Amino acid sequence: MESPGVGTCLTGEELTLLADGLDDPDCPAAAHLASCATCSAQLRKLRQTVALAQPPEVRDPGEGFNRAVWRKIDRRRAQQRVGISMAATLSAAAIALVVLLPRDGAAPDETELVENLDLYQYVDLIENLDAVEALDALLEEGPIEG
Amino acid sequence: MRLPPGIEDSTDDAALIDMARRGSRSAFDAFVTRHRARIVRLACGMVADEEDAVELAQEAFMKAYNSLGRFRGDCSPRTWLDRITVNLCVDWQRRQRIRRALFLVPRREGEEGWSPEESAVEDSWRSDPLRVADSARIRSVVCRVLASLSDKQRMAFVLRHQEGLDTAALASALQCAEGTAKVHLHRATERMRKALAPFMAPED
Repeated sequence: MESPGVGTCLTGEELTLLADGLDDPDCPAAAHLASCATCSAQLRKLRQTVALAQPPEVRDPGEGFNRAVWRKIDRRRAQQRVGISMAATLSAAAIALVVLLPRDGAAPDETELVENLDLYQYVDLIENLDAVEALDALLEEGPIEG
Repeated sequence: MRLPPGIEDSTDDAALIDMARRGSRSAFDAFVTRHRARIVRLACGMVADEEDAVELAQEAFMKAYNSLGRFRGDCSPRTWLDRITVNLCVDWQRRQRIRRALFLVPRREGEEGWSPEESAVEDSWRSDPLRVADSARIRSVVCRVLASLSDKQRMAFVLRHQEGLDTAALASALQCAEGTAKVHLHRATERMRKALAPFMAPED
């Protein structure tokens, strides 16, 4: 689009930047607007768009909002702890099962039993590990980097 | 707005986040207090219902709290929180779309796959000033258009028009060059203009 005698009309991007308030209203592109009805009309439309798209005013939700946030945080943490405790218990049970099951139907000999007792200590260790905090981060839905 | 004991009005966001990372719930509470109205408004700009917006804003703070350990300070805590909120709203909109699809509700204007320019313009909207004044309907169209934008376009539009970020801050939030941020903003605004055309006052 070009209007004779008033220079090149503004591109859509230039108009958007003016409507968005990201371009200097005294820039050369803006100077063109004074003499071009087409560009001026387009700019008005874009400004209306920006005005229509404004979100409604909302009141400060108050202290109840903070309390709700903390309830959610604490509930999520509790769920995570339960989940991790269950996972640790199940892992321990699985290890115990593998260790104690006799291979090929034969009864475990004495040496095996002693080794198994050693492994029991690891099972105990896994059960008692306070790994909740360390694993919290792994349970998050995905990294949020800032 | 009352701040928790030990936290000054002048304590900046970065300091609050740093204290929260070291275990101070009061510091995070102050951060919530400072930003809650803004975040509810931001969510309100993306989902039409205010109750949903409040719920999403609370989730955004919860997610921020659970992610404190991974906040690297590459952007301001405010921008980081905005990004979390926008992403949550986008996920929520996606879930809503799936729910609607499961119940075979027809696709509506502004949704993915819907083209504002190809859609038939509802003539009644042009001529009926009472309906033009129906901000709830406009809100709904705005939300659906936002949902149909790419993530970067949506962020650009929301952060510029609802949060008032300037070009540099916008580029930082979008993690791109300023020129690219402007292109995202232009495309988003253009889509919005086309979708909102039926609601605009006619030219004299």
